Amino acid sequence: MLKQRALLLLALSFAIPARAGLLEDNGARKQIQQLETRVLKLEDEVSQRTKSMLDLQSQIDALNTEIRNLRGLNEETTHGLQDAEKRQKDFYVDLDTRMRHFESAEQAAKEAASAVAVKAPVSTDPSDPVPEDRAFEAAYGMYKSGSYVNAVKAYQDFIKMYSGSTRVPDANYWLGKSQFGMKEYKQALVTYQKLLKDFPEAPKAADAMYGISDCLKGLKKPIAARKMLRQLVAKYPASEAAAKAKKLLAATK
Amino acid sequence: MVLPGLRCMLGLLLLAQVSVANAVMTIEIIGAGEHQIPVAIVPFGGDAKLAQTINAVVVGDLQRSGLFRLIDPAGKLPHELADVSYPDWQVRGADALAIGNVSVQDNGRIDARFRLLDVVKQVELTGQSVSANGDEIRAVGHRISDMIYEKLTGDKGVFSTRIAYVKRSGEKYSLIVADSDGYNEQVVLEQNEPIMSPAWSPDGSHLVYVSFETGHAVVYVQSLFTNQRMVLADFRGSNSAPSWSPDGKQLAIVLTRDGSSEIYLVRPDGSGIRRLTFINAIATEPSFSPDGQTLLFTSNEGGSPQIYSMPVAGGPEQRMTFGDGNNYSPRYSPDGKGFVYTHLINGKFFIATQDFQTGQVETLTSGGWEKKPSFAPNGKLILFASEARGRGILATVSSDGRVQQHMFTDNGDAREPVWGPHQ
Amino acid sequence: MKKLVISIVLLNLLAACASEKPKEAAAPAPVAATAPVAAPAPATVVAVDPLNDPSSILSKRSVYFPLDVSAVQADDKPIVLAHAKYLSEHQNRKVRVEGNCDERGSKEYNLALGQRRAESVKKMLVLGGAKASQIETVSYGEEKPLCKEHNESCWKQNRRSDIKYQ
Repeated sequence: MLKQRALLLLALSFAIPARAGLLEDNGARKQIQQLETRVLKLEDEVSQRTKSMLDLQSQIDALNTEIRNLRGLNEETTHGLQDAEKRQKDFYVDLDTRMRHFESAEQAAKEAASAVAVKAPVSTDPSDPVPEDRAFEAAYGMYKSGSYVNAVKAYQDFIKMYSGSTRVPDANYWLGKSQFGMKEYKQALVTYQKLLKDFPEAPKAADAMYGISDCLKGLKKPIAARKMLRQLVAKYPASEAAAKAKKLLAATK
Repeated sequence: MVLPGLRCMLGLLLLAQVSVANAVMTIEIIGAGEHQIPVAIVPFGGDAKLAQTINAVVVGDLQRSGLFRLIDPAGKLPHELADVSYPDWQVRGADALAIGNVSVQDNGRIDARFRLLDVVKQVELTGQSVSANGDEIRAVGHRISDMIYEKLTGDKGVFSTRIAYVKRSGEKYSLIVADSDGYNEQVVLEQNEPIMSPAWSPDGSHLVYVSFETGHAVVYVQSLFTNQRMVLADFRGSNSAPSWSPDGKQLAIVLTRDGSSEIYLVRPDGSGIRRLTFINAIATEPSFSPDGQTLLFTSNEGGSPQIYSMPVAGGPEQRMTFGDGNNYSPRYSPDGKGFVYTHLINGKFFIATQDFQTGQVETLTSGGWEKKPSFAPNGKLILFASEARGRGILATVSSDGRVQQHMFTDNGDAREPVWGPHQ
Repeated sequence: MKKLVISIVLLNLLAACASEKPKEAAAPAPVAATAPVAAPAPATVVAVDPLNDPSSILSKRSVYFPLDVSAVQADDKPIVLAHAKYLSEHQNRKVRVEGNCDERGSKEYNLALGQRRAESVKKMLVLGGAKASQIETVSYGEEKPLCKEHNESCWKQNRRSDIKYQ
């Protein structure tokens, strides 16, 4: 910048002496002053311009950083969304599958109820959990629809076919209920007792004791039935069956 | 598998002429594989000194893999099939047994014959003979380890492969090629300016690397056979991060000649430079997929360094890593199903892998100054740079994260390791 | 008439400045006293190259950056602009801007980041009046740390661009 100014003045110093003779002192001086003013003005403009360019540059830098951060945020959000969509789809498929189990069980139950003799759908592959669930639900459907004879058969088949299943205690319980439904109190009693013996920790154990009490009533043994209820209350005090038993005991005092 | 490839032998010979540093490696193994195969390695018969070296190499290799439990032969030393009594080994709990002989031929070559026996089924699994130059006794051991590994695990062994890394001792930088166990160091280049980012050609014949010898980062390609080298890229700014395509026909490199750090493709003779990315920020550390169609790379285009993927033919990049922390240095697994990378979080560097299909991320190491991972060609081990006792060391971790080993060179800081291809 | 003489003396004096010799040209103090326009001139007419003056801002040759940032920070702007001015006034001088990083990140990422740190200083030097041809940029990434410990006090010294006169 200095160099520019020096050059300008150099040019001036040649130009002016040539014409100095023609000019009045004041005229020359005025011109020089004007030029000085212009140079100063130019310098000022340049420095203003540099300053604003620097400002622009730092704004551009800041904007670039901002854009990158926003881009990153967008990438994260899109990824999160895709993840959520995938998970939602998985949930839906899972739910759909489970619903279908239910529906097919209900269907099977209806068919079973209308049929004279129906075999519970049995799978040939005992390790496949889906047919296992289906068989259990089918049997339950029969019980629910009051088709006790078929339900008994279906639960017996289930216990035989899926002897290792975690649902065997449940199957035993519902077998007992179905036998009770057929008024086969003795058989039901044996079934419940077997359940209590084989699976004392089963969630349905308390209900089984309640069922035994019912059977005993059916077998006209009210004292034994009440005794069983008291045992139930003592053994599983927190169970729903115990609450029912307490009510019954209180009502039939 | 009898003779090594002629070219490989030639390479070894020439390298040997360059310089052989008698470095001592110390190796520490941490952890153990889930199912270790019990195997007994009987010291070979014949030349006792050679037999001892082979035994040390084979036992070391198998142990480091983490997949084997070495059974002590405890006095039983059969060398021929006829001498083997299987019940002896069943009692010791060995599932497999290796026996053999080694001798020096009249022409100075080493001849090793060995058999691998299945103790349970009482059958021979393989019987091989390995021949090599007199000074390649460790290579013989590695080849035997490879055969044992392959027969017993079903995966190809990587004990005969080589690794490259940079060593810094004081102000001196060396580019080194060594056996996969760190032994047999050979100096490819030595100078007083930094060397970075060595990478192998797919056939193992060349190394490409970054050197600062002219005052800025320049990419060189150097033949490991002739030791001749050429400048691959020397533009203004930095020339770096070379990576060879699997077909060997091009390399991905990073240049700043147009301002920002961008990925370019270039032929191995330095011609045909073509810009691939237009990130206008940092794009670096390209890695080719095994099919050569896709690149993984590191970029800060999303504000922080993360891993991105893009087609080699060009096209939009896609971000691969998410969540807290920064991610660097992606390298494809040899099967192309995932990648390994460096994860930085809370001031610690970890080695992690990600599966493309499931997006599953697995952190393989416990964290520290762990950088620059690369897969062994069989995908079972990952080599990386680490730090222990205040020094840069090489380390490996099995791809399931169960077994780690630390390799200490006798001096200097080891850094920037990269596993070479099958020979 | 006297005024005119003074003006011409001033002119010739300034003209002399333009020819190559002269920073050590006689101090124009008496002239400055009467000439209304010459005020800025004396400041530049000094015998010592300000580059070698330890009290000058030009003695500062390093610019520091926060982690993973490559834009010159406001605090360091005056340093870069002072060098820009000096380079614009001394177009025969050349500089090499060297970008450096701390060790957090991969070596390759840091090489790229160091390059950006050098480039952003170069950009500011050019905006400040230097010619692009006067400036060479280079990155050492994390390869040439000033300080080699794993801690922030060390790292902040390493996140740096150095302006080196050739």
